[in-house]
Amino acid sequence: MTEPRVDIDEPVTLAHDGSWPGYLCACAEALNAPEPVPRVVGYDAPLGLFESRMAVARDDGRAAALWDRLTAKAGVPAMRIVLEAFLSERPDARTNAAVVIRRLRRDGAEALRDLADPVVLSVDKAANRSRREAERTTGIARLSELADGSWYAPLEPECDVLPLVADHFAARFAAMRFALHDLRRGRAVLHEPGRPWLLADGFALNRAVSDGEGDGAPGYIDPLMLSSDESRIRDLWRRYFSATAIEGRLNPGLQSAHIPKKYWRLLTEMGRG
Amino acid sequence: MDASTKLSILADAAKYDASCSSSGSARGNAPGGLGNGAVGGICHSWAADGRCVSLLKVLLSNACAYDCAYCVNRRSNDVPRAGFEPEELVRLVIDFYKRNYIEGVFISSAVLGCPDHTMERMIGVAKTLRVRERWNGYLHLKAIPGSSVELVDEAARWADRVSVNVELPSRASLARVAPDKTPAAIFGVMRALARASGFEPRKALPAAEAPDKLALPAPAGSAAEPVPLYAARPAPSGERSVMAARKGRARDPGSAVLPAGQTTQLVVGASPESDATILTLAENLYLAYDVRRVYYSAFMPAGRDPRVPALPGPPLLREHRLYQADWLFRFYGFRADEILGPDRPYLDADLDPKCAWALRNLDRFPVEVNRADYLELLRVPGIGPRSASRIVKARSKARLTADSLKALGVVMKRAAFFVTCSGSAPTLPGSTRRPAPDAAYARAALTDGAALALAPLQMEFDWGAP
Ligand code: SF4
Repeated sequence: MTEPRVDIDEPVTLAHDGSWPGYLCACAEALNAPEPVPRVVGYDAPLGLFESRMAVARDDGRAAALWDRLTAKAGVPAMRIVLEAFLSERPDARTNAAVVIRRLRRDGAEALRDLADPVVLSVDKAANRSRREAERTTGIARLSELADGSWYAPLEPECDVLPLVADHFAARFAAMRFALHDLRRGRAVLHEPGRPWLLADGFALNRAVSDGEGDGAPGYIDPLMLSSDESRIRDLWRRYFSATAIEGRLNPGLQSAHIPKKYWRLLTEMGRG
Repeated sequence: MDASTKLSILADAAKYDASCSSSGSARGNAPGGLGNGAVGGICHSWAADGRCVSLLKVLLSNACAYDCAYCVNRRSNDVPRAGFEPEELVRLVIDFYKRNYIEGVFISSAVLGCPDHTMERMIGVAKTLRVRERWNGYLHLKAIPGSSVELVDEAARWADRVSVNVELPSRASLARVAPDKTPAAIFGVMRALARASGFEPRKALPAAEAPDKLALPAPAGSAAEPVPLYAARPAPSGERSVMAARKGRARDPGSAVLPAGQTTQLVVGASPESDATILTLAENLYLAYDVRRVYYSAFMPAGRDPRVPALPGPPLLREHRLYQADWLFRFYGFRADEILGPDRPYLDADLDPKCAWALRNLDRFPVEVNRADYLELLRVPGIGPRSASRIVKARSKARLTADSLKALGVVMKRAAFFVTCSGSAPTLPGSTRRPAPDAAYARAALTDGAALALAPLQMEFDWGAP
């Protein structure tokens, strides 16, 4: 049996709302659609001249059902790659991942081995991108202690990594009350000791975090909100950081190859607040 | 002395130890505790010298009773001295860890009086962190050469990793440069660490090395045995590579004792040994003591000491090439005697060691990417472990072309010289030329930028001069 070809110029497309469950619903719709198979696109993708676009409603129950069915067939690691590709936020990777989902349903995890195929390769690369960004985030998130004893970390990740890093921080800082705030997407992981973490949309830290239009840069925290020890410990860390570089081997090029300058703004040791 | 000055002095004194890794431990968090291990390790920042910052790397004290000529903390060097109270260091670790500045701590120390006393102080900090603070972050302890087996064992109980540095690559250099240390003091600790992590050290050296072996006092319950020390010659061909030997070794990142094993460091350029001597010793350390990593540290002269050369700068290019060769041991299945030998004692300055090897072994090329096994693919310049396994995966579905190789992450600029795709040789990127590895331009085309970037910092020191 050969698989129906997905025609790039195919005018029928299925639009999702940008959320993960919404995306899965559009994929489910595509799986059921008669040939030719419609492409899955974001609702904000530019509309083609001859394109007829159908918006697919988000239905969390339907999304969960598809997820369970695919996981049973393809296994957790393969489905994690699909999720990671989605979280890369690359429109082409999302469209291609919908095609890959079709193949996963037919062939199981085996479908992901076909790296010579540009569709599979683009999904694999997008997944790697998210995974690397998530790994980076586990290292460069900087928590600050607030006056009420809770902890706050502003982030600006390139991909939507909060769902990928939340378990890591919840395990590591199990006894701490903390928020990991994605400033770009306005979302936060909220953690209370002894409870599962939550993802909150439209998060703001009580006037504390400037939106970039007020006095401070994004991620800036009003010193009045910080614990009394915070600035002393930040100073110690900066002192340590500068002492640990070896003068005879300074290599700023290598440093910014590892940690590009766009990330420096939120790094305590690079001079933030 | 205020806390900040103290921290500066003790971080400054610790920074020449190149070990930064925080990998190998899957220690879990405890109920109500703080922290855990991340098996792959996590880098938290990168210092201005480009090195990763993962651990708070400090000395407990830099007031040393010993006088190793290469070391900034030696007794005879005139530097400000400081020491942490154990409680100060514990606070610092917890405060930094909770802010996610660090993955853990690497505690080392100058020799305070005697090795055992120093070890006891370090173990005290470790124990407080683990027991009272219920902290489960990454803990790397430095063992002092000459400390007792009991204390080494206890350090292994609290730490994820313990290391002892070999530093000087021969007995003669050790005696001249670090007169307070002996081979037995260093290798005895390595042996105890290997045992603590469940690895029984074996005799890894050929019999001809016998004069350099030494009978150590036996730990309770086992017979005295010769322990491999320095080896000046490569192991005979036919021996297994480090990669092959490690494949069969059990690794348990969840182990309660020393999950990340032991590491060591060799200083490069403080003594006259060649790259071949250094790499052969490194290979023996991997094989004989199950060392997880050997670090190479370009010698940084700190104050004048007539026992070590007055280098104008650290030999960074040499260090870089040694690290590349070390990768070939661990991830590419190379043996030291394939990379260097008595007739070729130094690594090529212009080529990475894998390219240099390939150009010397043209009879093994070209390699057909649609057929060659994983290990053969790994030997192709421009193909790494990641692209090799992608090739093996992808070709089960479709025949690979030069374009597919590029998409799979192969560096065609190099690989084009050494592969065929279904029998035909790919052209060089951006050219219609079919690359010939034996042509005069091949060497120039395969040269990497390292010599250009690093050589100006490295000047030759003439060991033959009086
Ligand atoms: S024992 Fe030697 S290497 Fe260690 S701190 Fe003292 S002088 Fe330095």
